[in-house]
Amino acid sequence: MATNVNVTFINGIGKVTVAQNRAGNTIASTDLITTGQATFQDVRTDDSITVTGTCAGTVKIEITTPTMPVTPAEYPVGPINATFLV
Amino acid sequence: MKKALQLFSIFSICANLCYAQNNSAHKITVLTADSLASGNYKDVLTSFFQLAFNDLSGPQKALSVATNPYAIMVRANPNLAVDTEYVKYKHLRNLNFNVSVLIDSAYHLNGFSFGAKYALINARDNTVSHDFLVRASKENDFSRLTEIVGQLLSNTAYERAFREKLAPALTSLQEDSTVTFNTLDKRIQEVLDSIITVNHLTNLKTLLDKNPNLNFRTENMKSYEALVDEWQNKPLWTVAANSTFAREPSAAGGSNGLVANNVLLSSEFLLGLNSPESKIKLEMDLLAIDSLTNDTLHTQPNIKRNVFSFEPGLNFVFKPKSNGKPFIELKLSGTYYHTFSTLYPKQSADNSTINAVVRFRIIDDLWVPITFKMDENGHIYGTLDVKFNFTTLANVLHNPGGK
Repeated sequence: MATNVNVTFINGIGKVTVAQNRAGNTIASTDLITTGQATFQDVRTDDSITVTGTCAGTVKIEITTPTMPVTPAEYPVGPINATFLV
Repeated sequence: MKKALQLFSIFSICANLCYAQNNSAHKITVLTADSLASGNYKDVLTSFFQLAFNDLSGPQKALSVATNPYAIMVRANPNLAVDTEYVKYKHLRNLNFNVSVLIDSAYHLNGFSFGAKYALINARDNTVSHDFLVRASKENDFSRLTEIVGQLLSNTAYERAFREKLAPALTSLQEDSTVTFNTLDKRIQEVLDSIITVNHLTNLKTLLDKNPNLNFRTENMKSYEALVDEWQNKPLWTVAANSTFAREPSAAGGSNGLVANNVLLSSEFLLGLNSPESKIKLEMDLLAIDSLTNDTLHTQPNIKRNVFSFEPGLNFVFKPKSNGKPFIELKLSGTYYHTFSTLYPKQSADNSTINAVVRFRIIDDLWVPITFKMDENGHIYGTLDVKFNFTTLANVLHNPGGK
């Protein structure tokens, strides 16, 4: 299924890489340098999504498919290292 | 004085209640540019709201509020805090308004003042700096670990139940300052340890060998906070205009009502002088003020007395080893005054004072500056202020346990 990863930078600019992994490999990735979304056209159960980067304020991440841990979630100022299992 | 102390006590209790509320909840420790900033810097340019009680022990007290238009706008429309909007309002964040009410020693309203300040140069705002972001975004062992574990999570050779535990555990370890490595599930510890060793994440391996109780978030934030601190050394130049209207007694014993009492034009320049890693951070503070005040040689209220002052100073910011957040500051300065207008009998056109301001940080956003001035004749004057910066208080009240 197509899945969006919505990334919102709050009270400061930010920069993240959103990656989709399957069977132990990264199969797609998108860099976001402002608030926006990364769209992955084919996301399946057992895929994982990672969000790595930095935000000078806080960052809110929302994935439009159920994940563990659940989203939306807000992360504090500084480095962002978040992993999600679909 | 008694009332001032009562006021201060009530204020401290309220502030401490908020602080206790924050501590009792599941707290994520976040050191931001605001929490790392010196009290002196916050007095020069407030980033959100500042409430101040000035000259609590003097005959003319003032309760003042400083804010910027962006802070008011974002209250009405929180979407303005999103980066795409946030960057557009940089200039409004560099503008401060302040309003004060003046109170006499009997706590009667005695006048008010208002003013505006604009930062012509504000290189300290790391939240809109692309240079800052590029330097803060360098890949390190923590981001490599996230990428590698992200790939592992999608490997179905590991059972689903384990991967469902691993994903939130790693995110908490990387983002929550209360989660430490040795509190994780044993198997998760073993897998992470193995990944760190096999992939030669040597810095992380060394840190973990030294301290199995390692908090990844706190460790990863160290380089980020050092960079924020470096940004706090950058120049800040503000210009300001202030005017005061005060109740003036008339010759007949009554009152002339509120009349313009003074107009102040000022310029202030701050610059960090030494490495942010130093235990005592040095900050240069150059303040020039041209003040037009009431000349009592005239019978009618006026603002004909023109005094220029220049105050070069050094602010010593004492930082604790634990988190680098300053808790005490000492500012030493000298002020040269020159009176351009008609002099009073026996008054000299040029005067000077030696000044010291000690700032204590009571809690995160509550600063208490005590000012001492000594003039050429050895007379010492002192004032006691209380300054509350509302950035974190707002967070505490609206998101007591949040990240």
